[in-house]
Amino acid sequence: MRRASRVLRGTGRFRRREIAAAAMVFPSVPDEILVQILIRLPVKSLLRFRSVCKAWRSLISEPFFVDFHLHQQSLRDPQILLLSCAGEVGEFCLESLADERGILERKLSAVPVESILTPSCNGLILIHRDYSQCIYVFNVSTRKLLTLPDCSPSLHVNLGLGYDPPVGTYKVVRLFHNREGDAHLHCEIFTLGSPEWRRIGEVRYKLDVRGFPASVDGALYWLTDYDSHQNKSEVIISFVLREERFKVIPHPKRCAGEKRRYMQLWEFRGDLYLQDSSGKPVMNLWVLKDHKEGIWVKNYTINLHRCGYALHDIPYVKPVSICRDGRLYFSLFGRLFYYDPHTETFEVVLLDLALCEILFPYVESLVPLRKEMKAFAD
Amino acid sequence: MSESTEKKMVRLRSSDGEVFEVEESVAKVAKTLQDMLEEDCADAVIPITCVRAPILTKVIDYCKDQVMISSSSSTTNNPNERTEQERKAWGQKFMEGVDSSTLCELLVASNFLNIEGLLNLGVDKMVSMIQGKYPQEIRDMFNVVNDFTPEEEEEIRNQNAWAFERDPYYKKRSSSK
Repeated sequence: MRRASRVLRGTGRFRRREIAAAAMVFPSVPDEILVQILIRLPVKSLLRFRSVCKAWRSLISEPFFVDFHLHQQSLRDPQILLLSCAGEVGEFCLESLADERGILERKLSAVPVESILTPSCNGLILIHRDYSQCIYVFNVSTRKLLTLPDCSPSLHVNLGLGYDPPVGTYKVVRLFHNREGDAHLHCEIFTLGSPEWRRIGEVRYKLDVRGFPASVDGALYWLTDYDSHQNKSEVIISFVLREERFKVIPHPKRCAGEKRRYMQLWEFRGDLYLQDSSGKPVMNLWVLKDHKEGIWVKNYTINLHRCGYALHDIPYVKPVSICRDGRLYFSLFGRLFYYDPHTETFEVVLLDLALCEILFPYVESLVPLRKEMKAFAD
Repeated sequence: MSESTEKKMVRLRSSDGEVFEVEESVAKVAKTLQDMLEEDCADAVIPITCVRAPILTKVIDYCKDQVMISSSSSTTNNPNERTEQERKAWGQKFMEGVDSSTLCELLVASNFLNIEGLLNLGVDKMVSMIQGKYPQEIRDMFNVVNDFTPEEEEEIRNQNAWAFERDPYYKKRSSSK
């Protein structure tokens, strides 16, 4: 009888060499099944299980395993990262909202106050000590922190972290002015694993830098600034990490004019989303379905009037996370809401977010922060 | 007796020699058996060489249930059709009380017979069983030998000390015998 060796749902990319790495680990269970079991575990369990035996340790550190684990975890509903002042004096506390709605688990170490934190990219966030040249990369799940070399002494404007999947490199993109009064926006890049920052020159678009760029599939995305950017037909600017070049991409046709003041870009579940409002107490979310053709589809129209909010509240609403089944978390005036598009109903998940600085989705990730991060290219 | 009105039966023999007779539709839930039956290369009794009788019983239970669900799924309002929640609850019930060694055998069997649904149930069950466990519990569960020196083990634990909390099973070993 032929042996039925099949990899179950998910990726089917095991190679002989990879299987050999997993061999002898779990004598009673085939190796590909062992891998399927382990990639479903949270990072905390895997860090523990590294000490089971040598074979488990090397399996859990294998780049292919880290990759599979990240892929598997990204299929689940994302966890939500909360940053609040709830910890000791002078420290922020990172907490996470687990899968099950409303269960708040404090699990993370403290980060310094006066820090800027970017949204997560493969479970990594950037921590920037305000007014300093010091930037850290932090893996939220493993709690490992990597200090980058100092960036250039300049007037900080904006920061983003992106991942270039085929090459397997992470790049930190920083926008700045050379000095006070400098009207030009400049850009420098730090590739994780490289020795230093690289300047790539001036940015010829006036970007909206109130928030952070959205990091999606090898590119960062900004909106142009409505007031200062001359060409009003240029709305969304992409920065492809491979090419290291800024360029305009198409935007939804109906998102123009004054409405643009309330627009924001987000990344959810690996897609680029555009938030806008149509002059009513309504939050719309568009998703970029086709990068090549520039096809945007409006997939949420949320009437905030129904949970007691009015038109003037619109600038403060912020989508936080989208679940597999399409349900959506959003925050508004210190409250976290859970919205079900099938029934168009709302539910308040958390009442008192007043002290919360950030609310970001993140995935469990084993991505290591050592110097040579190109191992993922394999 | 006309053969066409009778349901076609298939006989399976477990590794410990027990023979099970099941309807062909039940056997075909296992992709491996389906391929064999369709290529007509199945013997009168199909040997399932790596699966013991108690495990094969459980596997057949699963396959019977799958046939029961799908048999009337073409008609609308199938009373047997399950919602996502019901499916989840059923899966949990099916795996209830299964211990870790039985579970390992079930995983091997469902992989060998290529029954994706059962394999997924088993994987999820195993995940829930080992999730909060400590390293020594994992070693006991799967007969894994700790091949680290005490120094190595301590170093690995120290690299992520927070993940171990208060491990009740861990006592610092000394390197000298």
